[in-house]
Amino acid sequence: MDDQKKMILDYVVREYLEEDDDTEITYDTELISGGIVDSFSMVSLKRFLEKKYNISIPDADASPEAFDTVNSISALVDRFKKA
Amino acid sequence: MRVSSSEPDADAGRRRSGDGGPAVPIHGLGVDLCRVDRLARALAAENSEFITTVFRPAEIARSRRSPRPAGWLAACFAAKEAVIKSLAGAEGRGAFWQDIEIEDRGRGQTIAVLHGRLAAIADQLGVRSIGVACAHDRDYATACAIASGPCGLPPEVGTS
Repeated sequence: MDDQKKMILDYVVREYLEEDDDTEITYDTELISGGIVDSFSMVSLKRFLEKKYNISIPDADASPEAFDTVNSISALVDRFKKA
Repeated sequence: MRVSSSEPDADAGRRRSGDGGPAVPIHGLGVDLCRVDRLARALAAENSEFITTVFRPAEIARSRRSPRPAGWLAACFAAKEAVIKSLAGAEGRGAFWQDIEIEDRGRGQTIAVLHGRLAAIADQLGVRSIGVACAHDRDYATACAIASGPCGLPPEVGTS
């Protein structure tokens, strides 16, 4: 579980933070409401998760709330890994 | 649902601004801004999943007729986001990229066509029409959308 969260967190930091941005991101950091991940970035984040974990996340479940923190993203992944 | 701020309006006289007629009930207003270079990078990517995930085939085909495909798609993306924001109550119910189709009718007329789940949600919310306007230059694209209720703009000027 922590490996999964670390994988997601590392992806967010690598893909969505500028190189000189030293914002600290934790598992509870608000990514969407905090302006780190926008709707444009959500598309690539969703595709990353689907490929990485071989799951399909329906559009109806791809809400901003579900993508707002590493914890909530990891919980979303878990839901569809079990489905 | 097919709506446009520019479509013929049978009730235009009744709702003319400043004529003392009934106010148009606004359900919500949405605005969005998108950098054109983000779309340019997505277009340049081989087998771009971003493009096919977000845009409908007709939108992709329309962009290919534009001298600036990335600018057109950036405006289209901004319009989709603005439409979702205008549907206050729909935000938070998931992703709707493919449920919104932006049609360029030429001469500045832009049409938003709702499909599937989002069309049903708009009906539930009592939204009968959404006016959309877009613009883009070399660097940025922007769009705004106004959703109005049953006493606002005409119920529909087409179906999907």
